[in-house]
Amino acid sequence: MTSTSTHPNPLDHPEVRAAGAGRYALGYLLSLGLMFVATALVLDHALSGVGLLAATAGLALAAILVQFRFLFGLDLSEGQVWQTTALVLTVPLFILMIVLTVWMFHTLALHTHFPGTGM
Amino acid sequence: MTMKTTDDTATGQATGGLWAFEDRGHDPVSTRTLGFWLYLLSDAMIFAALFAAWGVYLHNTAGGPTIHGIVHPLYAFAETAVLFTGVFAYGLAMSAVKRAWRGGALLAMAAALGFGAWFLGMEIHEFSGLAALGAVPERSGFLSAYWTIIALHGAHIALALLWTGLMLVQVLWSGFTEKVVYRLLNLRLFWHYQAVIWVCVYVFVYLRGAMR
Repeated sequence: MTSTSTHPNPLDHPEVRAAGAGRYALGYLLSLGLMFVATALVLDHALSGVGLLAATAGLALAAILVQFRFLFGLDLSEGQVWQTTALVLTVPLFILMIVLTVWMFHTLALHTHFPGTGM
Repeated sequence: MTMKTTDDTATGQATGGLWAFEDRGHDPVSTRTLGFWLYLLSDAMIFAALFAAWGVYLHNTAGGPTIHGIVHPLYAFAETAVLFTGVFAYGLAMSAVKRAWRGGALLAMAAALGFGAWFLGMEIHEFSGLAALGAVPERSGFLSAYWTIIALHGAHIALALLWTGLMLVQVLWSGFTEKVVYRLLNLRLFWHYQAVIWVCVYVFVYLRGAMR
């Protein structure tokens, strides 16, 4: 199969043209700001227990979405749709891997550890 | 019945127009960036396995140091700021590439290299402090998981630094050829991916450790 580039000048390639300092700056400032808020919440002990864990997890999710949109430039355009699709198909695997493993070992501990024995 | 002579017409009728065989040519840049993106997603599954182990071993301290005793959220936030700045600097390098500004690209890549090295130095400083406290990986399951997650992310940054250094030389030597450009695009994905993984590390390891 012969390889022929549709973009003789590599700098004309859509992925090169997609770069944008403003978009990167927005992604940088927003994700750093979200991490700052998460840090402040934890240090202030403004929430407790599950509420704090949920709030910081939500801020992490927001920061990650910001990075996918503004740093990676992921969207449903023709040039990015397969990257976005691959990501959407991977995210459930990523979450299931963590949640199911932690749940499985937690259940195992409940059934095998005996109170008062230090096990 | 007369057979159509062109493939397009024949396949178009046979499939009812479900797809069209277009002669769009092969795009080596997009093919390589998509391939590298798929690699990064599989790399993320390694981190998923480590975060799973982290969740399981978090309280398995074997009488040794606990998470509350070894994490310093403000220091980790400073690491976050340094890493994100390095990632942003590499983004600026790609913005310079877009404008065919070789000097700007080299400068921004050098900045990314500097911030990445700074971040790595902070991690090494943190680890040497832990080792001095006896909080070494073999001390407990919790510390094994902690060291492995942080060190694996650090290894990624070290690879990003090496790769960025090599690309600096290639941009200097060859300019923006097709091969150099797709490597720069893949390196951009790699840098930005480090920021995503670090968000998980920072929130679910460092901040989790600072929660009461």
